[in-house]
Amino acid sequence: MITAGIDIGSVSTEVVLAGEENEILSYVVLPSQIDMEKTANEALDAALERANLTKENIDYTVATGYGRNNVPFADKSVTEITCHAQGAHHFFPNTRTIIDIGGQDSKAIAIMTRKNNKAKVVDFMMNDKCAAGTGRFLEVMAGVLDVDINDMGTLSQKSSKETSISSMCTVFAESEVISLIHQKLPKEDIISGLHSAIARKVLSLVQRVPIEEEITLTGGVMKNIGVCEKLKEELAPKKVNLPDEPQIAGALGAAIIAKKHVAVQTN
Amino acid sequence: MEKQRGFFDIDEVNSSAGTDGRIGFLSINVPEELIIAAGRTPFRVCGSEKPAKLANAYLPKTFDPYVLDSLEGALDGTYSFLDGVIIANISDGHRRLYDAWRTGAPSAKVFFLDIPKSSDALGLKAFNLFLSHLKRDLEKTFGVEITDEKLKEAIHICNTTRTLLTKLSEKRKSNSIPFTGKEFFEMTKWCQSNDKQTVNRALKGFLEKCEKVESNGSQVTTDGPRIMIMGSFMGSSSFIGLIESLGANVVCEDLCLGMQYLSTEVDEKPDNPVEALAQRYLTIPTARMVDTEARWNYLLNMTEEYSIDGIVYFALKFDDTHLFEYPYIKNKFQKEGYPLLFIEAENFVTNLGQIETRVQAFTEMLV
Repeated sequence: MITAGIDIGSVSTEVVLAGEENEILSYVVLPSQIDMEKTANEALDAALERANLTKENIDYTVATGYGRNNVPFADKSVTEITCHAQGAHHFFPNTRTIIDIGGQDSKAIAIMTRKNNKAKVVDFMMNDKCAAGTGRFLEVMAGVLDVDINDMGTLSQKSSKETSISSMCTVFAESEVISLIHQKLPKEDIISGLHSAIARKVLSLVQRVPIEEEITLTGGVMKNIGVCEKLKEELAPKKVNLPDEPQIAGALGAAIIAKKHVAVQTN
Repeated sequence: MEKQRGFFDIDEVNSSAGTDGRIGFLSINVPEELIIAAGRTPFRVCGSEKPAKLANAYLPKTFDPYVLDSLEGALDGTYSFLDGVIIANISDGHRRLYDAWRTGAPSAKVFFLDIPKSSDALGLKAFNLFLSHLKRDLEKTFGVEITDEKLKEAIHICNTTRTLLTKLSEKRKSNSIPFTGKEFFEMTKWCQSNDKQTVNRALKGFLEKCEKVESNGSQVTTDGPRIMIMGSFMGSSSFIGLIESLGANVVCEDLCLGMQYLSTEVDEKPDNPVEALAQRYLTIPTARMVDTEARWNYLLNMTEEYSIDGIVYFALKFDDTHLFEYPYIKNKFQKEGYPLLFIEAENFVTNLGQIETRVQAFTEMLV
């Protein structure tokens, strides 16, 4: 049995093909385009090619993410909250809290394990209608600082003296960063300060759901080592897990949820 | 099987027309009986449903959106058909709305009703006085006499509306509900803005239809989680519609365009009808009252009677009453094991797309 999970986010789209034991057969991460259907098809085709499979091999497809209702070949749509919970739980079965930072939102999810070893969402919090503490916040700041967003993590590691960023609003933080640049402060220190600002913002969210061990970090922003380290510092001494591919947790979760529906279909 | 018709297919609902002799009101604490006894039809002011533009010249944007939307309607002429409007002191925002309405629409007759925050003996005594003043103001303005007889008759009519709505609401305790939560909301909203005799005929007609379907055994079982919705004033059913479109059923609500309207009845055989009105209208367990324990018991009882799976708490931005109540209520419900979803919105008709993910995730959580 093969299932597919597709997570269409505001910034990137992920496809995971999963096998009988929920093992990952292949996965793909592509930037999201305006035409979500096109993105979905391209990502699926690439994942199929990597796994040497065809569309006919897929038994069930679940779509998630902001574009979940725009995937023509999906059998069902499930929210990214449920999917990330399932995906993170698959990576680390002892996970009780999940922190997901994506392109346009961040969320904290509390889960418990059901008798059948599946994750059940108990509570969740999402950021409000504001870009603070999201991937978009980092993108804007990378633009102001004229650095590649992918380099921000490693750059911040070189910081010797973290700058304090007090504004959380993306627009105000941007002008704060510009004035720091004018003070000729090293970029590394500013970036390090930005990462702390994100960690603080996300923490204020997480504190509204019970923070329990273990915590797993997911979402594209977790590719940034700087943000992860700041989060780990803030969450210490609790155990914090970081999957090798934090970005695909949602798509993997979708593929796992798809399996449940295949079972229902064939009965 | 006979196709089941909804409330809005009932003849009385469609035949009612005319906007003559109406008096607007903005709070569940304003006795409609006084308006009816003054020979007018009560009309629930729900806001203009247009973005506030004119209103911002009188009140800051950081006011309860219901206040701003209502003021917008007063200023753009939406409510010019009203003979008058009664504004109750249910929050500082409404208190200022009273000033702004009079300033911005000088020809409107605007009445003010103060409301104590406690329903103890002192509060009741005060509210009785406030209602007597309002009665006198109405009499003077419209040149009518509001007699005890007229009040008792109005009490009977309004009690009939409440009884019929309660009977309909209780249909939602079962697993086969003859109407949606959205429809019940629309129904109570309609009942607050139309002639009560017509309202009662329509409700009776609809109740008979529902009971006919039941006795036929042709009702449909309603699947999906059972949701209770509560919180700020909601002028449109779009949010409830969104929840139901995602597979859940809104089976009860603590909203003024909902079960708050039918919570209790007025004593029909009182010595003093104004006192009876004070007693009923001051003991509606809303979030603004200081007796939080009575409110909590009322809410908990509702969740049990209606076999609730989860609660959606809706708060409008800047609606302090509900924003402050939420942490208290959340704590209480969580201790009882009920999952809650908190939704804060700019307005009761917009931003539904952003809210959809949260509501859908919540329903997935309840399955």
